[in-house]
Amino acid sequence: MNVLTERSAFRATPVASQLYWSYRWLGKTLALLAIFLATASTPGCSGTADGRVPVAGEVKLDGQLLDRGSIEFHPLEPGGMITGGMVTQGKFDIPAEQGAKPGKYQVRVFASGETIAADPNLPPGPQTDTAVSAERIAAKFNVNSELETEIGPTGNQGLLFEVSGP
Amino acid sequence: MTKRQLPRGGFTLVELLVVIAIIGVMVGLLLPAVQAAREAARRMQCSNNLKQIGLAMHNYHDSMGRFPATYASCCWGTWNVLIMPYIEQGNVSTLYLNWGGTDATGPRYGAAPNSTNVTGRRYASFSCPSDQENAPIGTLTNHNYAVNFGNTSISQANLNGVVFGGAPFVGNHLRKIGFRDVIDGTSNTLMVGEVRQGQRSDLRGFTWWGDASQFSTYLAINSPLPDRIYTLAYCNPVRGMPCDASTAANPTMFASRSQHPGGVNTGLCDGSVRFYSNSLDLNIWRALSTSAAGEVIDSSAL
Repeated sequence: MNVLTERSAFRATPVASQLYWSYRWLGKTLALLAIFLATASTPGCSGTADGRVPVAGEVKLDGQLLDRGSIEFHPLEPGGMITGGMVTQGKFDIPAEQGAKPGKYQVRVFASGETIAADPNLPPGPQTDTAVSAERIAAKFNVNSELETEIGPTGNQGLLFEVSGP
Repeated sequence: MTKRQLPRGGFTLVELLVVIAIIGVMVGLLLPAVQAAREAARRMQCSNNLKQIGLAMHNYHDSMGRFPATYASCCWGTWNVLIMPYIEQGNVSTLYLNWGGTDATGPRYGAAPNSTNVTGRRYASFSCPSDQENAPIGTLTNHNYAVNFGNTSISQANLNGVVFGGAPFVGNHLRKIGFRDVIDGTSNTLMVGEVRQGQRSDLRGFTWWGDASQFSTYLAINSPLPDRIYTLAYCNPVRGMPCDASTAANPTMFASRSQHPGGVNTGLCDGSVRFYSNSLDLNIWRALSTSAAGEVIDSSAL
């Protein structure tokens, strides 16, 4: 708008029709630009095209936020997809691109315990393929999970799972 | 009264502003497109590497009557060394000592002279140009291609309800696996996949080491779930590469990951190279990795 007032001030005696056409031209250009920008900034066809929704929430181990672990969602109904994510400082946040399709899910929570000591400056030696850390979470919350949840049609943000040690 | 016309030689402010705005929009549209074109070229190079590895595997099979062994335990060589003569790196492979040996018979992969002659070098044929190069321990290098170990973990046993369905590569290097063992069909079975190079001391992509020379499909493509490595000392979870320590329920396993937008390149047993998207159903991805589970793969789901 500033531009326009300046311009009309610059031309002391504007011909009415000339001004009208330049207004109209500007308006058209701006409309075109707006269409361009809107098209460019639309999220478009990525992400939720296949019906996935975001899933986020918290995991507590014995009442405390689980510092580091992972959570998996296994579908209990046909058509679902296995998904999951890392749990960091008690929180997990799975974006829609990697999220779950709405429906019923079995939830599995894993957290590894004491890690095996290793010198990061030396190449690893034998028996590394079978070496495992202890699991900090009871089997009824992961491999034999009794935890279930329902993912709503637009995703869930405030899920809370309380698990305990073995 | 004479009307004095303004000189019409230059541009008005509005005209200039509009032109600048249009140029701005066009540059904004063009620049990311240029970067995407670069990435497309890198991805093509990466799939070409997979094609060459696939051909090398076929030529190895022609000579030896079997696929190359995946690894000789942790430390005495992996498939990378075995196929080197078939990707014109025969001179390097002859310098590799003690493939399939023991500590009693010679050096490990990370000890001299192997470390200076072979494993301390970088090989373009084993590196995906989209990924960041890394040498996690001294000069020993990470690379980007791993062989298909099936649908569970490195132990190739049933895992949390997933039944192991056979794989074209196995842990025991004396077991001869060849095309005859790919019962599901070579065009329905993965052979080589992409993995990402772990950064700093992260040993993912450390394909000279037995554990990291393979990938499995228990985890989805570019999975948000963690890869499992036996100790957190070798785990550096950068963006897109979550990792955690192996446990009994989640033994050592590595997902196929890449820096390409939206998926990974994969070489199949018939020598073809395909790009699979992140949104591929995990059950189909697992079915693709098994060599003898008898699944029917609906190509419309790929």
